Amino acid sequence: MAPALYLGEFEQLILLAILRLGDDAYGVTIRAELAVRAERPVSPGALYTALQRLEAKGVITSRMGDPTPQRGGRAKRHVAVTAPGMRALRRSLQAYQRLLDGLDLFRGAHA
Amino acid sequence: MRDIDRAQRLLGLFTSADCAEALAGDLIEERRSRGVFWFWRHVLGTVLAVSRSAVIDAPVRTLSLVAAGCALFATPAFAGVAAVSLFPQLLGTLVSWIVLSFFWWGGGLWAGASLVTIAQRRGMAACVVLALVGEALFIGLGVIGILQHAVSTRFAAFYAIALMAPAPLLAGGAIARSRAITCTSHRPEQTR
Repeated sequence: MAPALYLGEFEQLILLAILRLGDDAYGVTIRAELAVRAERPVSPGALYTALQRLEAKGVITSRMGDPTPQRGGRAKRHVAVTAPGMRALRRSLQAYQRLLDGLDLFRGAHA
Repeated sequence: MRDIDRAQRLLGLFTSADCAEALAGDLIEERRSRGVFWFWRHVLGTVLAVSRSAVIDAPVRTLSLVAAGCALFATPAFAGVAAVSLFPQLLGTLVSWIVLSFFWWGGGLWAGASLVTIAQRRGMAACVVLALVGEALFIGLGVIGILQHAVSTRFAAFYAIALMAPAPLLAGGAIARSRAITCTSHRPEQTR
């Protein structure tokens, strides 16, 4: 049985952004999604190294798209979440959910 | 050569050809709205991030390469000092500085090329780490020299040669990596 994959907070954010973007997930759109929705500006270098790490873990997979003129004839590197990646993400988010149960962080005693 | 080609070649020294193409494309896509300064800042930032990641992901392997680079550079560096010291009458003359810079810069070039030959991608990251550590060390020595009022023409010349040594180190690594990329791209498809 393969050992369980654990994801850091930044890795979870990236996976969620990839899932939201679907087929349009590549460097520029992932950075924009993280900046807008997570209010987390990420440099291209930081995102690239994180994507490399996730791919090495088998959490995401990548494929090269077609070259486009607005990118100087360079192809996009599209990424997608793999089945083990989905399982790892669900497990991480369920752990958050279990820890959040019974807490009211936005109103009430723990605000 | 256009900016994007230069950037892609630089990124290709540290990543695979596909990743370099995609990264260069991502950066050029955003350059339209953010400008040339932003573009180059992030090209260099990506190079540093990849080098940092190489150290974090495999610290023992990368630092072993850095140590090997130190040893490879130390040999010609000491040989240069020894060669100059053999002729005390030439000390401080232009000839002694040319000999010293030949050994030091040639040593840097050789050390960089050797590191990349030993380890293709991680070798380039090791070159960057070694160059940054070397520069920090030389700048520290320079500051100590200035604080101790030991600045003389000899000190300045020696310091300038030492301070520029990381440039041939990086150049050596880049040349070796470019040659390796060229060899790979010219290889027939079935042997890849």
